[in-house]
Amino acid sequence: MPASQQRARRDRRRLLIAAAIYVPALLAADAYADTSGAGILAFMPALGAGLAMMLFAVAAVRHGDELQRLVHLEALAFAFVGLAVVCLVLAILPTPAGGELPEGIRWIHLWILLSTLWCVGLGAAHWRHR
Amino acid sequence: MKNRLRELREACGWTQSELAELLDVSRQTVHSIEKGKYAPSLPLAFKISRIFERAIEDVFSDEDA
Repeated sequence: MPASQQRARRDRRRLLIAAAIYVPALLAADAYADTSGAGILAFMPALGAGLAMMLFAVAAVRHGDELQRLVHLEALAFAFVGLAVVCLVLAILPTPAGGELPEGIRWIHLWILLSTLWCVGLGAAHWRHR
Repeated sequence: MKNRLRELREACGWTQSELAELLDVSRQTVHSIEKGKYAPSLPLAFKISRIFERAIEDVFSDEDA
């Protein structure tokens, strides 16, 4: 297996480990959002595994070959524009107080949507270049 | 852009994975180039032509030319 492939595989494995730590930490922080010290709790996932996840995601792109970089770029563009469209729709929806998310929708839902769009984009880009 | 990558690779008796290893890219990249779905960068195109000991024009050609 080429060295670049080994690096990319190692980065993907690290990203999955970081995500496996980050997502439960984020959900726990969200569950205790109304308790005292919620601010610190909410920040914990971002400081720890969140930062690691960001670094590994960047490393995965940096260590890939040129086609893999293109695949990542297409996936990120898809996720970015998809989330931008959803945010725009939410922004123009009539809400009781301007600038707030509609009832039933929370910020964490947008994060979940972003990661879902990223995964869908990755799958589509891989399929296109298969 | 058309290319003779598959023809040259098969003439050398290499699999896509073996060529990918020589080029330090993924097998998917070799496959996409062979299928004409992906046009490689200039450095990669030069690397490919060097491996087959050919001029770059012998491996890649412009479809409009």
